[in-house]
Amino acid sequence: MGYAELIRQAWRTGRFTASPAPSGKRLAAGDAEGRGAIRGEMEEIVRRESADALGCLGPRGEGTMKLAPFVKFREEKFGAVLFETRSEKVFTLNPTAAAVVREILAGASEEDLGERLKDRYSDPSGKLAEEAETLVRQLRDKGLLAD
Amino acid sequence: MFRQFPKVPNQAQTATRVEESLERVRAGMEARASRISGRVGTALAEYVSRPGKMLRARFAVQLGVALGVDPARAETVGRAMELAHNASLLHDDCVDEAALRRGQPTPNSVYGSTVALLLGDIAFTQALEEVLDLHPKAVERLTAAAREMAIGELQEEFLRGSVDVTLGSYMGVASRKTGALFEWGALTLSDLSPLEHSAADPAKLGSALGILLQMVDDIHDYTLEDSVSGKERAKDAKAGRVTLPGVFALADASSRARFLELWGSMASDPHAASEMARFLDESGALERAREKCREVVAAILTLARRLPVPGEVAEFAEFVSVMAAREF
Repeated sequence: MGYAELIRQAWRTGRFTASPAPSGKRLAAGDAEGRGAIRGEMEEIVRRESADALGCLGPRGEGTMKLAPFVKFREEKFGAVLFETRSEKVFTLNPTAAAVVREILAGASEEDLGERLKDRYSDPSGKLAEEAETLVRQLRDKGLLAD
Repeated sequence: MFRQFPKVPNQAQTATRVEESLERVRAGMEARASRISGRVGTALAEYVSRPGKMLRARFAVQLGVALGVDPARAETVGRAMELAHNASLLHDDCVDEAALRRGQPTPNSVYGSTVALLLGDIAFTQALEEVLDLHPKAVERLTAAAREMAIGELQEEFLRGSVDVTLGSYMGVASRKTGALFEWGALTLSDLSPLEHSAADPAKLGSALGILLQMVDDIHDYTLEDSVSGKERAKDAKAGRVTLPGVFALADASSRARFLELWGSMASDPHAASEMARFLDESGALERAREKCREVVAAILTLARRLPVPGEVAEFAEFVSVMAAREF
């Protein structure tokens, strides 16, 4: 049933429940266990959202790459997004691309990027380093990276 | 054919103009309070527009001149920042059940949380009204900034009691809670600037300044007496919040165990908070937090030196340094 039909039916019958109420457990006041579960999730979220804020710390070494002015980075469950705040363009990144940008924010230079990724992730075929090189080129082409 | 560069003022001229601008920001806020007082009464309206240190307005005015923005429009940005900040303080004091703010009783302690929350809502609508005609993106971005501030607050609320806090996660929360409003101000001034200024990255500069303010506040929480800060000492630790000095104490193997011991006794021992303050000082955690502040100041000044009106940069740099070193 489409949304329009659902609305018409609800109007005719007077039943306005479009979907069952969420079945999640409702927290009682002082429910430490439930609060603890949210806290665990929150710890994970703030870890994921930490890279961009650390990027404001300088000074950076010579030859290091950095995101272009007005570009923000935020990790998401699917990988990450780059957000150009002036044009409001959003670029989605897969987990590999997110790992590369994380290294850039941590102060990688174009020369040591491959090595840094190799240290952090298993990359026997060298494919990750290859993909990282391509991504850096693409980021430059789109004006998302500055040296 | 000829590009006209702005005249380079000397620092004394800049300082005078900034103070005059701040007077106008303040007068505009009082005018707003006066208009609202007809609806809610003078005593309540005063909370909406009550000026504090006016750091946000000063930031907007000084960054505005360094970006070549028309002073009246920079003042509007400053006024909106102050009003949005007041809104967040009114709500924060309900969250924290704070009795004092800027040395005065909070409205939640005098009239209850319901009243304080509603005053906060009014303050935020006043901030939105300020910028309705300022720039097409200003309102949309201010609502996004308010969302980020609220998300930062929620994250902080649910991290209460957690000792799984790293420097990155601490700074990330600060960038939302405090940085988002500064970032909004800087981005709006960037939109209003007639001069090329990409290299100064005002949005990042604003965000970093907001984070710095939070870092300094968190250090003051352990170092300033109640009478100086207008807040209770070690309030964050008592509320179960690990802040910057705590992050460094936790990250250091030699101080972690003692920190956790004091942390565990915070709820039951009335002396634990002052003992914690002494321990953070003696273990070097407070000094490491100050060192991190100095790093952020250096990063901000690097960006500030790229602002397009050279004569105004010195005054802005001084503001940043004073803000980092402030003890008021």
